[in-house]
Amino acid sequence: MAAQTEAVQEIIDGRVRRNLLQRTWRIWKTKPLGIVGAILVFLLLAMALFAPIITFHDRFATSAADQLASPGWDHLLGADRYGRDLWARIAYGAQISLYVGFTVAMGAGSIAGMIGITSAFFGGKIDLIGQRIVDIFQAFPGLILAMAIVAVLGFGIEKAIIAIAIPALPRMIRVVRSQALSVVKTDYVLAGRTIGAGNIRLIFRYIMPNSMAPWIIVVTGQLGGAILTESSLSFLGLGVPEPHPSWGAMLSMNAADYAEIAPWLVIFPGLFLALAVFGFNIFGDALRDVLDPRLRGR
Amino acid sequence: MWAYVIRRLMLAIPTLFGVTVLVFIVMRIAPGDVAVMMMGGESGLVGRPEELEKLRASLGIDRPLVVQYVDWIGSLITFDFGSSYFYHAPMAQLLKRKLPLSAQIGIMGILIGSTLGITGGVIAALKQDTWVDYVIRTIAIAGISIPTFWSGMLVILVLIRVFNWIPEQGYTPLWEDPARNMAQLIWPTMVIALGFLMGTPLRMMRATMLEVLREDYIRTARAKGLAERVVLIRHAMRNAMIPVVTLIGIFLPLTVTGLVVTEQVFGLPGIGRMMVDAITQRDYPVVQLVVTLVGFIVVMSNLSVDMLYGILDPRIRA
Repeated sequence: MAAQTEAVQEIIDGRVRRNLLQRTWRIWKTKPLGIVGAILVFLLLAMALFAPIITFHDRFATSAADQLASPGWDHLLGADRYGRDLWARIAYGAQISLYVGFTVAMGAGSIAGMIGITSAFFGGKIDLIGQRIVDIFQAFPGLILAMAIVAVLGFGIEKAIIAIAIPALPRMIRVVRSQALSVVKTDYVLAGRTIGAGNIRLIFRYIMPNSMAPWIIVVTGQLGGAILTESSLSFLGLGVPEPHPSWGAMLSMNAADYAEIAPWLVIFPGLFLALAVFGFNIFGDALRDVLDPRLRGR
Repeated sequence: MWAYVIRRLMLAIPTLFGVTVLVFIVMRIAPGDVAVMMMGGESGLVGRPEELEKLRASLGIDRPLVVQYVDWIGSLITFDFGSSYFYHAPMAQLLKRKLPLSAQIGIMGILIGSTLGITGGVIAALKQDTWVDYVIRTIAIAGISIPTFWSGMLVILVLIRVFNWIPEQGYTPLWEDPARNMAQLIWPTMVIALGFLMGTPLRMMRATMLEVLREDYIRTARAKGLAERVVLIRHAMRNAMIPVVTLIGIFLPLTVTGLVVTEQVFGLPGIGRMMVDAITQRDYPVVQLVVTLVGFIVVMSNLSVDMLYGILDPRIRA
């Protein structure tokens, strides 16, 4: 209620024109969870970026003397069964998680954006067939389809990215397409066509800029999910292979075997993973509320 | 109503057909010859070309793709399903052994998760923007964000370290020993129930409940002096539930995803475990069958959601 009266007051004051940044900042002041998310995302980015500076051991270096060392001054978060420093592996693990997350979100996002807009713009048979194919892909839970693709492609970080990106496409295509559909029907697109704008110009200068908000929302929303799917695949031994320090792989059954004597092997990688996914999720939620309140709850 | 049902059914058939084609194509792009792999790779092949041919013939992969596809569809329709490369056992038998376990955890998880989620969502909506709301929402987002394999491992860890109690491993069918069965399955069930299965309906219920509470008919109900309990349960919740029903459609995919990792953590021999093993061993018939079955289940559950929607909300039938 208070926010509403404030908004009304602002309209009266004639101060309604704000740029996106100001609007974003203002709404985040009323959304504490969004701020928490932004901080978590920021810390995660910093951790990945400064991994070489903030770690004190080689992430691959094994040491017989340090096997299953407890957390302490030498190994901040302890060491795994090969004596590798857990903190170093977790910090570099952030790089893998973010690399996979951003590649999947941007890659799948760009492809889905192109397909969604083309499909909506040209309509007709292309759209119809395209949507049927999207339907078929949507019949599979993301992880299951990713596992099937891994079964075919084999294991590895790039293969995992492809396997995670393909199941992410249908939902993104859906969202972009439905937005583009409503833009295609607007008068300004018709106006553009009347003054002789070609298809390419219409798509890039008229439809794309006006379909951006939902696109940003789904792409951001994909980050947490992509990180979670990557870690699930790696946990199952189907994703990023050893010795690369993927958080999921660090939690795989090897960690479980030592859980009783070295619980830090289970606690820390999972904690960072959960915080990362949590951060991206609430950050994405807040961004969605700011950019497009209509999509709330989807 | 019947016209609507039939129209939706007709739409589902091409999708189901597409599901089988997609799975079949994906499985056939697999690089490398399965027969070669089964004989121990290229090195195992030296001097045994006729054995390779024999193996390929016995697996049926020497025939044209269309014949293989039709044959596979035939086996699906007759519930024969073919055999696993690795177990050398008919898959119908494998499924019969492993499906009850996964289905039981899944159903119990969905029931517990959605009950808690819907209740939590209503409470959060009624207490909007208070600390209660923030706590409930944080729990819901945490449930969605925390990977089930990690929460599962933490549960085991806490049980062992704090309570000095090792949870029962393995699986006893419900009808053989219900108490033992529950002791084995209660933890994995809770782990998947309190994750996605609670968080997703909770967030949705909260959002729709907030919308419904602002409707005129709620004001009317209050104005005519109905007890608050009646307003909430009979007027608000019933209307807020309609969009939440769509969740049934996404529940199944979420549950299957949860089961795949949870079975691994708790060492349960279910369908998810079978799929993971099959991928590691390149047991393509098993992967192909499980993925197809999951696809079918999801399409059918989406179909039933649409039907349910049609029953609940007459405007959609048109």
